[in-house]
Amino acid sequence: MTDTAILRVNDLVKHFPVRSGGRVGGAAPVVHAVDGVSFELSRGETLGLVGESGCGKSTTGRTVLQLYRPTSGSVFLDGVDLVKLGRRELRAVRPRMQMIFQDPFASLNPRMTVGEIVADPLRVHRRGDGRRRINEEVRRLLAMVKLDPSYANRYPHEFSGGQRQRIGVARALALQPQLVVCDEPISSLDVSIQAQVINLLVDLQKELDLTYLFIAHDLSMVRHVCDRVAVMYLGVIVEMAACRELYTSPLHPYTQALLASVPIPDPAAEERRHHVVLAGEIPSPVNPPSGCRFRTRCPVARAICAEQVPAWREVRPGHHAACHFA
Amino acid sequence: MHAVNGVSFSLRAGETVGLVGESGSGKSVTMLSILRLLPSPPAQIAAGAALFRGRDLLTMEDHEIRQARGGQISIVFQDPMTSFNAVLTIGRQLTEPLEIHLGMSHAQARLRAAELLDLVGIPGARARLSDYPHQFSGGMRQRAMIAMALACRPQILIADEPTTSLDVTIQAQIVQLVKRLRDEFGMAVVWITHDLGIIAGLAQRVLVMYGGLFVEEAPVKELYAAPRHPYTIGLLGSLPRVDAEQRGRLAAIDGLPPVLYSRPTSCPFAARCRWAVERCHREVPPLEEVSAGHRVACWVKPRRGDGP
Repeated sequence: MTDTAILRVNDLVKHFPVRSGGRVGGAAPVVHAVDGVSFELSRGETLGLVGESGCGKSTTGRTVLQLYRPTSGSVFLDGVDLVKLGRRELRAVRPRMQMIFQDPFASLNPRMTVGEIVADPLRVHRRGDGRRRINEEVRRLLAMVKLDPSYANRYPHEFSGGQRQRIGVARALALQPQLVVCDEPISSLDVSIQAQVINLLVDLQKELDLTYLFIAHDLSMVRHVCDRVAVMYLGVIVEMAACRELYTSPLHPYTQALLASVPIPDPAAEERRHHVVLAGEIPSPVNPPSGCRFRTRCPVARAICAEQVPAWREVRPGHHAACHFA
Repeated sequence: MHAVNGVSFSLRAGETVGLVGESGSGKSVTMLSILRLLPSPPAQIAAGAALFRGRDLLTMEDHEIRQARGGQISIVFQDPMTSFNAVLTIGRQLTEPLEIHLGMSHAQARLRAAELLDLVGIPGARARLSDYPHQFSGGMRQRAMIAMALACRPQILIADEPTTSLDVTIQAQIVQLVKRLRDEFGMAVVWITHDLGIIAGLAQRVLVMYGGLFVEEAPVKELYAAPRHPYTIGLLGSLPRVDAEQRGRLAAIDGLPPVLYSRPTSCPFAARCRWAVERCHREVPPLEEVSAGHRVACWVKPRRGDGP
């Protein structure tokens, strides 16, 4: 572990039991949502976690924050293993790690004013003494996310999606966290608003020295925002590298197919492009395929891929992949 | 709510047109109005005409529009889960248009339905006819939806954000499928989307909508290479690309899209526009041709890179 690492995740596993519908005998089936994920995050860095729906990227984010307690594995925040902490100890750590949610409509309580929403973390963690101090802090936070401080007395329904997402950002930053998990922070926003919110997140990172775990499926935006990128498929990370390296020389066939599937807003570039269309769909995480999990859709799979789980190897300096043929 | 305010366009046989805009811009309402698919009341079509091979869809008899709809003009919706009937099998829903529009017997229709599912790449098509929609994945439902839309060999396929809820690898499959079927059947396609990426590789012509109006129309390459409406310029500038390095800030468009409570009396984009002049706040700009097939509704018509 390098001394700059703020977060170190080791072999993280999260399984969810499935109601077995009265089946008799045999082990109860489980969803292998996250199945042995490891990565590190340095201070001030942005790591992108990408993959298709159901690949376990959001579950990874929530398990890192201990919103789900993991099935096994460890999560070190500044050297302390969060998995070993009890409820009360965890509560003391929580201000240092916060989350920005995907849906700015579902993640703000419609009965609370914007001021109450942003002040809530301060109240829960008993920060700021006295109502006046809290009000001042709320106004400061709203101004920080480029909202008019007078909005504190209004309710969430009075705001647009982009404005609500700013309110969510203000709430996440109220406790001055070091680590922020951004779970698809822009995917429910209109195109012309997405850039506004992304610019805000990038500015705040510089200003406050924040570390982001940026969960997204929009690979174009991830390229713009992230320093390093990890690609997930069916509960495991299949490739991880520095951003430019991953986009210019992807090693894993899944990453290659994923990048080839992203449309480019340029007809000339689209014409020149070689379209590799991936066949089939992501298999069920209840019974993931043996060996390499991607082999059922992989264009280069051979016999060995069904027999052996491919090792996680450093193929080039700082560029890891799990593929027999990478 | 004045969702769509005086739009005109034409669609040639076999052509693919992209209709681009963000939520609330009026793109879906435009197409749904043409097919008279909006419940009325509350929806009202105050004025206009929609000629399909010379006949006005807006004034034809109910039984005639029913024949056109699903017969010669089909539509694929964004959300394949809510657009299927959850309590009827896929087979039942696929055979219905075949029996109604083409007068097939039930046995014939079932055979044809299986062929259609096969055509859109659903494995084990015959057996899957007895499945219910919830037994299909999102991508498969969208394929089945397309199979249903193609059942009567339509001349026009309207695709209303058909891939918005799907993952990119599945989206690529659907785009490829529609391209293949379009070329095979020679149908015209109207692809409604907010994603300028998809349109780039799919359409020949693009219509950009903003605030209930068409603000720009151009051949696809021209639109991306030389946009002339400030909204199009801003939108293209705010998009990061998967194939290019871009650091620093994205060129965001400040402000919010308008809420259309009244008929526009000025350019709907004026409040967010860095090129806006006094006239933009007073008068709605008309669509004017700037080059062959390229029309722009803007008093200024700036070029990308022009100073404000």
